[in-house]
Amino acid sequence: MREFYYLAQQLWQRVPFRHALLLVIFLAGIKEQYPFSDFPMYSHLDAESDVLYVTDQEDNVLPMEKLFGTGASTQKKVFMTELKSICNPKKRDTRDALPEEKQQAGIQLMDKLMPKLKRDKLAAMGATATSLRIYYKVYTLDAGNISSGKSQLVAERAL
Amino acid sequence: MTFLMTESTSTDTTGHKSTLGANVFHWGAFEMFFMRLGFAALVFIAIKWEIGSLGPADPKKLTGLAHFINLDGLRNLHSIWIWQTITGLGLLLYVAGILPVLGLAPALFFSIGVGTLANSQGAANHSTQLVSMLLLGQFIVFLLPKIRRVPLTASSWFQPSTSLLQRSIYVSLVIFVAGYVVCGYSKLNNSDWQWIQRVPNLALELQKSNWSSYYDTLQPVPESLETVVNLMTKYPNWARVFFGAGLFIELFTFVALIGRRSSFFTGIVIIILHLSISRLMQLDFYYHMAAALIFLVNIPGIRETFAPKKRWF
Repeated sequence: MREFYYLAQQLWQRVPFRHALLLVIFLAGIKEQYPFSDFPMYSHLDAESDVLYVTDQEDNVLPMEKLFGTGASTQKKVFMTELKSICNPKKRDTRDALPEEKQQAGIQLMDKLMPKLKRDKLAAMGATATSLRIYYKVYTLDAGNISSGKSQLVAERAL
Repeated sequence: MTFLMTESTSTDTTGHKSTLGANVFHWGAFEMFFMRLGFAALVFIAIKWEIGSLGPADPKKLTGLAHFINLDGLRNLHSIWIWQTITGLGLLLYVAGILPVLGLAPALFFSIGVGTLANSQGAANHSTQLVSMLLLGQFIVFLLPKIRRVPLTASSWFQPSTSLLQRSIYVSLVIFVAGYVVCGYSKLNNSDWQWIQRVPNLALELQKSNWSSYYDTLQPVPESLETVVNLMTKYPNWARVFFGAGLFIELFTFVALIGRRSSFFTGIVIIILHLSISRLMQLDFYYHMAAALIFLVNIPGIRETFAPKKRWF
């Protein structure tokens, strides 16, 4: 047994970049468990991508980062998490989500977002917003051309 | 400058002539001091101290420790300046090379605690994981300071030897490298190994990230975006070559472990890669660039890196 251990140790010592290799295998296996990650950014490269933004009641776009201290990209991920939790129990892809399902996810996102609203920043901007809207828009690549669908209103909340 | 010439005492006692390990790099006390100084500043800056702006953890999207511990209480911490002071003093101890395991503990607590809570909100961001992993790696090195055939004494924890400090830097290098290699692997694996073929779809991601940036700040989308997107869709093979080079860099980041010069050049290439991504996609990975600058490029050690006696790789 001791000889086997010694042999295994000798072999292990000869594996190039062994420590990094071991860590790569670990990270690839554990995926997203903070602080560990397999860093999957831009790994799927689907033929569509989506954005989310906030406007006032007259559809004037408002700067999300400034008003909520969180980015549109992050909140789009939150929206997708909510949408997945609605669609996945029905075994459906979020791309096939119905407008009312997107609105349901949008309302849940709005619930999370509103406590973060920095009303002083909104007032300082001189905005006359009486309500906030969240829009969701999808870009698709078709025959080498990017096209965007119509933005869908997924939530509205009075201030 | 004699610090630069300080040799490693971590001789491989097995006599095994490996080209891997901290003993290849011979980091001196002077350059390691600046690495710790730079890393301490990076850690402090990377912690999201605006904890109160975070919401409670989303039970549907828990990550890491949040599966086992309720971290929502962090949001109610008051007088953040006190915790910042404790963390800062701890990091000063670490920089001085005194009781680093104690010095790193507050930073580790906030880096992982706040990072976990922030990433348990329903969306995963990837800006701070690398810094937290580097911090965890160094903490473990100082917590378990046993070096082969060297007896443990109180000073192993109180004032770690040069060998142990070198090990902590080497572990940082390994973590950095593994983070990039696994990122490249994820691209291949998650795309069913068709990432290169799908590169033209990256035009959509460019469109998305630039417009997301606009929706965040209302700063106009760069005029160059349309040109770049058009080029990518009209010349997909050139796009594959260009972005494929990025994937190649990620997958081969491990060459940084060969020696000081390969580490230096890998660091430079990684920084250029991130600057290109910043320019094209409005996505800034400042913490990653800073880590590359501190541990791979290692400016205070450049003279030693390019000393005539050194092999190129």
